[in-house]
Amino acid sequence: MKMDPELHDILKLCDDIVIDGKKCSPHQHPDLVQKYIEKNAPDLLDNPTVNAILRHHEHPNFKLYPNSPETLAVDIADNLASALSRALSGEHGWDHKIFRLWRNTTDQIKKRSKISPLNLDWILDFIRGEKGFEDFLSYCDSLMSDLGYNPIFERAEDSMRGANITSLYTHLTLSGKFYRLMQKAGYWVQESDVLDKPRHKIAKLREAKTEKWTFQVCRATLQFPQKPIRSRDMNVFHELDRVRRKIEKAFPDEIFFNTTDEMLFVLPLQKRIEDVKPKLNYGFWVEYEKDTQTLSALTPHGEGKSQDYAEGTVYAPLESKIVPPICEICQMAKAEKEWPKHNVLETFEDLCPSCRKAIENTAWPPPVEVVCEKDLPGLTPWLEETVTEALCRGCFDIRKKSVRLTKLADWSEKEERVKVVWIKITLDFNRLCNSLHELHVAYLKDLKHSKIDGVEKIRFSVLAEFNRAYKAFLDRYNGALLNRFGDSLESKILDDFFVARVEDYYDIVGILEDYQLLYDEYFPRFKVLSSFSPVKLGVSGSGAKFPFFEHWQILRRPKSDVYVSLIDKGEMLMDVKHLPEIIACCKHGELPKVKRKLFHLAKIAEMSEKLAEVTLKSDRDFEKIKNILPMGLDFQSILTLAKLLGDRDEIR
Amino acid sequence: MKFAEYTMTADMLCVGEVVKWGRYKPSAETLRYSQLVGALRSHFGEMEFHAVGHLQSFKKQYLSYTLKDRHTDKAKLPLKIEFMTDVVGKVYVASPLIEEMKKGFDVNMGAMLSKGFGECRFKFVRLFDVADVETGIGVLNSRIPVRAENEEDLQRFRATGESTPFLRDVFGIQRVKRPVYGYLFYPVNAYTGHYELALFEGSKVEGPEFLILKEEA
Repeated sequence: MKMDPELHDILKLCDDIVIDGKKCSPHQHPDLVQKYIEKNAPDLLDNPTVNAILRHHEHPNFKLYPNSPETLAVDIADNLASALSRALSGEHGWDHKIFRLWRNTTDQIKKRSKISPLNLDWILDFIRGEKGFEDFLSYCDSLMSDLGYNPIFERAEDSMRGANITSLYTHLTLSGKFYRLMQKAGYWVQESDVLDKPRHKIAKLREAKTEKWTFQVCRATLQFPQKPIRSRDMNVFHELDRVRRKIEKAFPDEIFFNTTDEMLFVLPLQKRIEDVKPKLNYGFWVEYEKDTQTLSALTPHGEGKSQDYAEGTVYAPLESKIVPPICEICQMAKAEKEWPKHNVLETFEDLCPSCRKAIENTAWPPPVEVVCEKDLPGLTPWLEETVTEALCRGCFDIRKKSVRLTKLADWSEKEERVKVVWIKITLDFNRLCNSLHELHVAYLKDLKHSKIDGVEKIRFSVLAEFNRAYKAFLDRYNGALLNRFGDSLESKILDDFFVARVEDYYDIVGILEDYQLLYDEYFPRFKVLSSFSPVKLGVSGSGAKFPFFEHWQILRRPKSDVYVSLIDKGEMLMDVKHLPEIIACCKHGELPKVKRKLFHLAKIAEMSEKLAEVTLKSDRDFEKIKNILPMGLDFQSILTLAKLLGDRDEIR
Repeated sequence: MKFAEYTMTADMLCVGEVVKWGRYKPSAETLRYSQLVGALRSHFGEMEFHAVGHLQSFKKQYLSYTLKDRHTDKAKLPLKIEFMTDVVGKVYVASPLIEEMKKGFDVNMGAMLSKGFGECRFKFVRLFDVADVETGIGVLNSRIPVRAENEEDLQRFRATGESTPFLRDVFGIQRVKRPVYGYLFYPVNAYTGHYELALFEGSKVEGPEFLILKEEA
């Protein structure tokens, strides 16, 4: 019989039951549940999952405690996957509903909620059927139609207010991962160490082991050396996504948090971050920082760096010397291929021998006269490509793949000037950890918690909980952009990276509006933070022909919460707190009324920024826009905003 | 090793990367070893120079430019060039002419020289010995070749981050904590050369303060 560590807290969703004439919450009274099983389901007494459910606490509040290596491992994994490493002191009352730090306020939780849709008999039947965690998730999903919510996502892992900051789902998933990581690491006690031992000895053993056993916590970022210029080269993002998925597949239990390019690993000491090397195709590399931590002090944010703390990079083998030509796209390998010549030779397998020979032996493009009539129609579009490029094998392979971003390719080939905007959402991991801690402290303050100073830093489960919300946010934002742009939105490049064709730059106001609406829905609490938002939006606009790589440089590290760059026109740095006012100002406020003036101001600024600044301060007409100055926009940003507004009906 | 510090200014500068797609020439935002040494050699003659630098302020601009085919008198495909204006940077030079170079000098550097780009003025600031400079841990602000003496040296460097003799003796880099690699051109003679493995900006190193962007705790 297989043990499912993820099911150890299933009783948290179980409704109160009367056992031996006593009404109880099954999770709090495993001893009574055991009696119930003895009477009603004796066949499950030896079931390892049932044993894990009943015996995963060594705390004196529970009458049963771990009595096997497996149950002790579940106990430790349970603790590692909880929101707090120890119970909160003080009594703040209970609430089954999760309090999402980035979303909820204490005003919303005045009413206590109880989430316990299961009954004990159903749970025992479920375990008897040898069904696993995945089946349990499907069942919870099916309860949505009756309850209006998925109980496993809404039920907090710890119902004590102040500690109810992660869902049961996240807690169970992480518990399973930690349990298997302990197995992989060989962190297992002997049966004789736990069998028939008193509670205090188990507690001591647990403490000793968690202070001795260590894992590596490693934060890694996937990087690429290519500088994509053509739409074909944008395939590099597809490959980046594939490599990331391959790494995730190879480390199913080790990754606790991920974005499109960043991963947080917890690794047993036998595994190393360098183990990702075989997955790194096309010269991709990984930048990492890692630290070794004991299980008793395991944190995701690398504070209190140990002497094992290290930073580094993982590269596939590199040559010490490259004899020219070097690859023009990645500049990290010898160029062995010539584009488009070798692509033609490799793609057109049925070229006649004389055409093949002529192409092989002449500089590209070969004279049309040397191509036979049979091959000419197929080759004609390629013969029009007169520019040749020297590429390495990897970049050549990426270039050779069929174009995935077909709309972008089409826009960039059009004769007329097509404007595009690139949209990228980024997440600052360090800032996220600090922000979540700040919001947790604020939550506890609202609850009148007595020891605010000693509140521990954010743990893995809160980060993983946020990770789910962030991914849902990205999905919704993609939907919103699709709704807004329809056919003018290219299929997403990465989950957080999009490109759309716009009629004029004024459409960026709509992009900001969609972002602001969803930001307010998903992360409204980030607006009360003392520092910048950990989630950032970058928008960069230009003609479709403008080299993409420049946009990437701009967008990968946005300079502010909301950052807009218009190539050749300027940039706007905005604070997400002021975004609604800025959007309102653009749409209905005073800005459109002084648009002509602002546009002239922008023209003056092209000659002299100083003169434009003096004009802004002295011209009485600009009194009207004084109200946007406190919104955190600097002079440059106001000018760029003027250009953006002026783009719809360009004033001449 | 003794270095002279200069403040470098240029009205227009295009320190181009390898040409992309034949139609776009992006500009690097740092002053790499190979570029500076190449420019100094072409100005002062063949001798042993070591130089690095970084930019302190500049504005980015773009120029569309069409080359003309002299034989057909027809314009070729337009070339888009990224360049910088109002450039101010710091350059550190070690050379046998260090005393003579104290009075400052002008050097042409980068691409599009025939169109008036790349006239750089070097104003002498001070002379210092790398050994006297405080070291710290920070992000490298330039591009410097690794220049391992042999394959064994290179393997040790890559495996442990222990500095190569070149990085240690010339630039005072003690240790490379997080390398970001790239390649720089190394001219063997006036006609040919090869690309050598180099540390690029963004690498985290333990080294003299003038080479690092910011000190980290």
